[in-house]
Amino acid sequence: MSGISDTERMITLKTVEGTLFDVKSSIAKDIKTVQAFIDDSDDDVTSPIPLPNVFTRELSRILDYLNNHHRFRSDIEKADEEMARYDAEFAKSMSHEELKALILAANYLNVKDLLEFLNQTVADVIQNKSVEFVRNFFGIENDYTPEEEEKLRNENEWAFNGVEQD
Amino acid sequence: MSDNTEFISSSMEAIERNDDLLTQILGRVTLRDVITFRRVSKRWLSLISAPYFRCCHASLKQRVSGLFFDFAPDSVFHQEVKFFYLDKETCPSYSSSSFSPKIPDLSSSQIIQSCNGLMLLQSEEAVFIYNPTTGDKKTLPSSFPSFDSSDLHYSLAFAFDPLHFIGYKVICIFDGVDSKNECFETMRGCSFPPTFRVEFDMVTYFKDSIYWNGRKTTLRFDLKEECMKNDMPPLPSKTYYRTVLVPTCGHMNLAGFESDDELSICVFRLKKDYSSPRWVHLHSIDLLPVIVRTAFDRITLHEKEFFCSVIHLIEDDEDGMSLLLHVPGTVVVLRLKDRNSYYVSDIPTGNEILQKTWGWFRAFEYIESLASV
Repeated sequence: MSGISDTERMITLKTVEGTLFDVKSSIAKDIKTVQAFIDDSDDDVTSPIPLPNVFTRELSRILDYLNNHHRFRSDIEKADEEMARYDAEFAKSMSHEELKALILAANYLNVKDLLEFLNQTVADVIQNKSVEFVRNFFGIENDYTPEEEEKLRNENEWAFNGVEQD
Repeated sequence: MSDNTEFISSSMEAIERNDDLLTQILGRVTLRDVITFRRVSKRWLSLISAPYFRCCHASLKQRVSGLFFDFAPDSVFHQEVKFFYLDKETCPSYSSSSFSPKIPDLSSSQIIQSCNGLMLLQSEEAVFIYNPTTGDKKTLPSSFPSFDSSDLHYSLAFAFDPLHFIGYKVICIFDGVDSKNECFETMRGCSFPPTFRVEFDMVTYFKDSIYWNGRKTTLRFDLKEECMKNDMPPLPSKTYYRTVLVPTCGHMNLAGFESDDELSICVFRLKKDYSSPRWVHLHSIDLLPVIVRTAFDRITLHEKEFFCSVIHLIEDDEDGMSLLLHVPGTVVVLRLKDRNSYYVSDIPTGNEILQKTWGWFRAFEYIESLASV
């Protein structure tokens, strides 16, 4: 294992659909699930790493995000500004369904910064929204009776010691 | 794995079934919304009611959502505090929403400082940590050394920053005008007692340091090294009285009146791009148009005595700020981006006249927090 220091080692990832992505090992470091797989295998990972929960669309977005952030970080002067602009565009370019799918992929792959950013994006989406909007957004069935819901609506104070349940 | 469509549709709801992800998302939502969202489903109610959620919510960075505004100029003796929400347009309004913070009982104690959701209160007998969101209050043990109070005046400062360190820190500053060592003789490692007046009652916490404004420069106490640091730049020559130090948009800012013109305000930002920090000029604001727009009926033009002061700086978004200003009879918010001003509140006339003798109106930030005291 010597003499390959200038060309970075590449790692191949394989999505559910079977699409292959070549990833620099420095980028793979940010994908904790992949990094753990590499660390567990004996030194050399030559065959593609299968990602049984990740689809091509999500993986390509995640790699885009990571590549861009790596690029921004190399230029410290403008890093914050460009990153903020890129992140804003990135968030805007997704539909709600895409956003949710991406969160699940980022969660499975354990990409911490991206996951935090996506969680914040969802929080911004549901901020100041109605209960009905949130139920629709997450696909949740209302399991309250109208009386129970009315009771909670009138309980404005924060109940710190848990809420009584009838 | 063979049936992709089934996998996709089931994964759509998987965030909803993942407690950890949901907690992370809801931890970033304001408490007002959190309270509303308890009605989404029974599972959400139990998730939100769990201690783990409270912990998560307390450890994520929250925005300043309101201000406690002290109308009494003689803050040392009593405070008259009203609460305002800062809404999306940065126009503060009286709270009309379902969730409002609990203003502490100020009949016997005073607000000394507000920091990331917790407050430091002081009464004649004791010092308290108070959480205005939950109403929890804790009396601090009186572990500070006692001095003969006749020649030493003491002030408190407080730091709470769950993103940087665990718990909170309280420091006590003794300063005596006539004693040989002047200030800080009880402070470890301070070899440069300031020879100018320092407003120890006006404390600001920012990034592991506590700051006070002095007549010539800013003093910094480093909480990591637990000592005073002599590394702050001198105040910009133009500012000369009643400057406020407020961190917004990830930077420390300074706002005050320009030296020979009491109707012109300057805003500076502390920049550290080179080795030593310096104050960089951001804005100059002429107050006259603001006064004409908002308080014209309250001033008599031949009267030279205007009462104006900068009370606070408010963060609008990542790079926009507003000034909270006191102009004759009124408190207004002036958005620096477009110079629009918004009415906030009237000030009782009596309080305004007292200000000349007693000091200045103040604002304490409110950040929703479930942190325990």
